[in-house]
Amino acid sequence: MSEFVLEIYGEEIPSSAQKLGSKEFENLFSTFLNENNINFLKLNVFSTARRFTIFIEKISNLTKPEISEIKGPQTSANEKAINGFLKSNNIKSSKELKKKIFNNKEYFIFFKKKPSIKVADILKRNIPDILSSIKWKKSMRWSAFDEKWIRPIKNIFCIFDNKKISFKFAGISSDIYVFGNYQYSNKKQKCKNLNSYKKIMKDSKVILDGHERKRIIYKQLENFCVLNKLKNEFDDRLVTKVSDSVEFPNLFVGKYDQTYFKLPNFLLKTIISDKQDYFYFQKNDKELENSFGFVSNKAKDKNKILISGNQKVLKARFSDALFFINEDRRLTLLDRVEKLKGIIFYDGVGNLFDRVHRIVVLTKIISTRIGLKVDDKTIKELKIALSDLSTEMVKEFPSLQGLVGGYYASLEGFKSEVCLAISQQYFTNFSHSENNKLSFCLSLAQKMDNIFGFFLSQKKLTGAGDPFGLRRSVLSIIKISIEKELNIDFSKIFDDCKKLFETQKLYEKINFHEITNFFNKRLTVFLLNNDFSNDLIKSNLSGKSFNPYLTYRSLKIFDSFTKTSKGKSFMQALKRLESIVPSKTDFKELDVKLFETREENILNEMIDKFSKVQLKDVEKLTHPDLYFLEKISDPINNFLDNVTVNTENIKLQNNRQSLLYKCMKILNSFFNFSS
Amino acid sequence: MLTFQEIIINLQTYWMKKGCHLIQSFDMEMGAATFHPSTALRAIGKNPWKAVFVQPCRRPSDGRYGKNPNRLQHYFQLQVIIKPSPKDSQSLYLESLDKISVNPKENDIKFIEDDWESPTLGAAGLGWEVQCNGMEISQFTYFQQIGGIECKPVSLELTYGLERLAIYVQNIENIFDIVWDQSGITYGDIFRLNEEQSSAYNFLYASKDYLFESFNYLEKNTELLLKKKLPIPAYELCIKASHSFNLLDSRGLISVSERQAYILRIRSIVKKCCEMISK
Repeated sequence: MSEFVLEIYGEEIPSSAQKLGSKEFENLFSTFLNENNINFLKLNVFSTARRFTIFIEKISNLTKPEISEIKGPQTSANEKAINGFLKSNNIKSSKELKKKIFNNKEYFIFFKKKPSIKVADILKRNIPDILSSIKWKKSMRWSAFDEKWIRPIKNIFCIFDNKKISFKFAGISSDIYVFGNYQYSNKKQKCKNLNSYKKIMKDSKVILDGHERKRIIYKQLENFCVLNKLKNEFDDRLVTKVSDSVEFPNLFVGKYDQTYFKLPNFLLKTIISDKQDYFYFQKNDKELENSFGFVSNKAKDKNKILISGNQKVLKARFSDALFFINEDRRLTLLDRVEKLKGIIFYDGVGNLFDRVHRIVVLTKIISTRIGLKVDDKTIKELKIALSDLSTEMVKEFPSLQGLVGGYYASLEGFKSEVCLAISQQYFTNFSHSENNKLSFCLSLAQKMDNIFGFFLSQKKLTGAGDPFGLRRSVLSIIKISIEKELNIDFSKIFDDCKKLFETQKLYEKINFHEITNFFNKRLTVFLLNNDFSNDLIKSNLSGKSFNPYLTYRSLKIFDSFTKTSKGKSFMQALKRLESIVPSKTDFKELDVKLFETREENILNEMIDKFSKVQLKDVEKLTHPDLYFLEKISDPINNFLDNVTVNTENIKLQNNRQSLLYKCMKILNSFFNFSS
Repeated sequence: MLTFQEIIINLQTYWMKKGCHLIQSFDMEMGAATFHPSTALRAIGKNPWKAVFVQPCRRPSDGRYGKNPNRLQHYFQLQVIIKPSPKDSQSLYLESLDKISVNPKENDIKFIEDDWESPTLGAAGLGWEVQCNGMEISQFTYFQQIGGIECKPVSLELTYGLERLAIYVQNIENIFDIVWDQSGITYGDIFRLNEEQSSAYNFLYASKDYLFESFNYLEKNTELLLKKKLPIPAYELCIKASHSFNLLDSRGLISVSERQAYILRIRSIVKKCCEMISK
């Protein structure tokens, strides 16, 4: 038994790629070892900003000997066939063959022994292919090499059984030397085995295990929080990202001037965390502490160069933000509404002034549809919804559009629900507890207007990307409608959009079918991701209306029904019915006088009973309301068991087909089982 | 303390010693040194190339009337382009920092993932934003494609933000306080007035009609030049169109959504130029 160590050392590897790469390494190597009959005890993959390392412990030196059974000709076969089998398998004599019975016939078989192979040889031959087969989300080439990797490779270390495994990948020949943390030393160090590898890494300030690096960062953050009585809560994604960016994490804490508390918390947090990858500290849920943490590979900060440098950067960022606020506030949001006239929405589809007018009207329309009363003052105030798009702050931090508008609106004394709605208008979904209905309406209105405007601009959507954010917008409309249970037929909102654009003389004929199709495609993807079957989804999407909430709800109710015993029994009968019901639709009227069997009469009576059933609206419906459907299971099954549909008597045949068609039709009136 | 002038000279000298040709700035407004034909066009094709140059860059919407200590609408980038990218790219870069008094052993130099993309150039590269104690000082990029064409071999592009570096090296907090040379003249003495006036032009007075018309004209004429098989001047018109677009953007004349459409229009003509040059 031996040890195997492979390290791919290179330039800084992004955090997301470390996670993916580690998984790929583990899967590819374990699959490879199993497929090649190589025993091993333990396989571990580690990643840092500069390297991927794989340890395989107690790995066998030889592959397991393998015996495979090769089936030859029948023992009764002629000599030519038998000799051919011997020759093609390099068998010296037929004495080496055994006999075995397959399906009552006797065959020759040969037990072929595959000799053990040196694992070192197999690894040497296959490692380059394994490395090439890693599926990175984004990989790159460098210099003049053809191979792709996540980032340029500088060194490959590979040993097995304390000896070098030689191979070449991306222009680099593997070797027995390693590098430590380059921030401390560029020295190349000779490494003999797993233990010496671990020691070199430790001594040269490389913590291979990402969990360990994260634990150290959390501990250092906690120590600071405990000491200063601060809230010990940090974004795990940021901790991961930061720990993946170093090999030897050390937390440093800097300060910023309290005067920057003039800036709103969302902005301070965005600048500290999103822009700088620093940690912000909080006294409690509402108050920030004027300190920030950053993580470095360096253990010491001689002359406080690191802290003062990072403080200076943060100060500059905050000063920028203050500058923007001061500049922006020279004009009120209402003043800025006029400025929107100068900003083109889509080429040929007016400007943002036109757009905000439409959005306000659409918000009113949507609010009426969901039964929300919005007074005239609120509607008037919503005119400022897009005003932040002309501010310096949004130009600098485009991801804060909406939030900035909401913040400025609150400073200018607008109603709190209006401020919140403006802040949340670009949200793609809302938290469970969020219940400002005006926010939902404004958010839906601005997205609907954006989509309609896009189609009106005659632009084409090509490829899988989403450069105009339309797919995201539709998905957001779907999510908001479903999660907040908003019963809105958006095809009617399109009619309203059309009227609004017409009023503004901005309407040119567009293909509504294309828009509905675009919406339905997104809804299909959403429903598929929620585990509904493609057939069921297809039969429940309409080309005429688009109501994500009702579609989702009816599918959900039906899904719950089919999981009950009554539902299961009904579905079995329905499947039998679907398999036999003819696809043609030109049936003659059903003639009860032609019924010859009891089963025909019973089924017909049940259909007539069903035709009198009045189902509740989908909004009020629950799955037990569908239990009655089970009553038709037996009549269908009995009919199909005892009555011949395709009888030679054409009259009878047509009549029975009409009966089945009538049955399917009545069932489809309750729920679209088939398209 | 190194002056602004010395930072440029030291970096140029270092890279010249590493075999780079000292090229001069290009005589057109551009948002980034990548637009310089010495970068964008030389990155296409198989021929090796090594160059260093300083390029004045204009980003109209970054204008702050000379009032913001960290922001300019006209600034300088020092660019190094090496094709094929050398094996020891990072070491070479770190060594260059040492030449301008930024000691990588004392400072916290971080390579932060920043896959660079120039939407208008149809260019993409993988690499990092280099930070020195939290401040971005350079972009470090391996070009993967330009004008939609795959770069083979791959070029290394290093872009030094000269003002940012100078702020750090001179231990000051305001761009306008950067000492230009030994005479003591500052960056502010030379450029503040320009910042004030150009910001006003960028935000208030750049003619809307002229910009829209010139954009359309340049786009159309690029196509005409391409028909005449003149991709180099056609590419120059793309640079101009890109600047018109930047001004339209700074004047706030196009919405976020329409912005994307303009970017795609420029990208489409740049792509055609690059395709013709690569043949």
